[in-house]
Amino acid sequence: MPTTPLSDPTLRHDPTDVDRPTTRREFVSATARTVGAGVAILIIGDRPLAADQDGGPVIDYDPTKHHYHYVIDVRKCIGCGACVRACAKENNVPPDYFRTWIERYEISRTGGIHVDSPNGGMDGFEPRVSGEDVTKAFFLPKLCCHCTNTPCVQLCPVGASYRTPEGVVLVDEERCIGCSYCVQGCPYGSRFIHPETHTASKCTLCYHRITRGMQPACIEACPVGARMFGDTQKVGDMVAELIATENVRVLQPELLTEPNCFYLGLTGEAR
Amino acid sequence: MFEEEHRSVPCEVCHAPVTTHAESGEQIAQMAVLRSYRLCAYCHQRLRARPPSFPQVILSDHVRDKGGVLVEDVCLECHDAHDPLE
Repeated sequence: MPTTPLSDPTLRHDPTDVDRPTTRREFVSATARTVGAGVAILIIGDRPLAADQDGGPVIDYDPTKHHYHYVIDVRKCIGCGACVRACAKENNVPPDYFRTWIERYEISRTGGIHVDSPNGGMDGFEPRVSGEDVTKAFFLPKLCCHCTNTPCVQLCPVGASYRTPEGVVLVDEERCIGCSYCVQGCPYGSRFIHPETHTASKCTLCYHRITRGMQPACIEACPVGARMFGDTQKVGDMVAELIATENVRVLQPELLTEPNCFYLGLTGEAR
Repeated sequence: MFEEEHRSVPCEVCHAPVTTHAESGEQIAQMAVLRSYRLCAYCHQRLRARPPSFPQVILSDHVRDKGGVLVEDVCLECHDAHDPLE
């Protein structure tokens, strides 16, 4: 996958940094270290990703050697909200904003659709009293789809929004001017303007975790295994196999965004 | 430690997100233990949108049928959180 200067993580604010913001001096030295490590890897050869590092610097991670995909099994989701709470804690998501959220769909026999998402599903759901004869109901977890053909990256007037070599769509907070074009442009509603930094914010696939061999927080939190995370460049990856063999669908395929977030058990009513 | 039913539930879902510290044997804080039925209800309260095969109850009916009273830690009177159906 070709990288442009805009998508090369080493030329940007280091997205693997857990602490923000960094000064320009730290950024330059971190970049130099990353490039140096990259050169070392080229000389020494590719080594497997260190598994489950608990914080600390990123080591032995080559972005071009991964391609991440996400699968959500709608048939399994119970709408408990553990993923929403885990994401909020892991990424310091401000209250009333969501990097991932759950929607509840209730469809009546006559075809009427009711969708709700109380506080994004963070506190779970309460039974909904309705006069209709609800015959179909399900929970639909949503997050940034990390599209291959992203509207948000195209829209960004300053190039703050970019796609990493492994397919993760990120925002460079130092370049973002908070114009919110991307918030308006995302058909999935996955972006928001952070109330404190006034920059665009969204799911990062827990980039600071996946570059250290861990899984995103929402994946770890799901108690029923409705959320799955995989690397199609990893041999024998279960999620890659699932995407290749099962009846997976994406949200709003007619928009040709080519999401990398797939769904199992998606019905026609889901948007 | 876990029997069948809650085996796939991550510790952090019910306790605080301090797994890393627990594994290293380091204690940084008191482990959060929430004994309220509201925690169990996050997953087990009956909702139309939940898969029918998933264990869920109408809490008040379930407690009444078992001859109990809906107090804060009513679930734990019968269920062991780590082995709920023993």
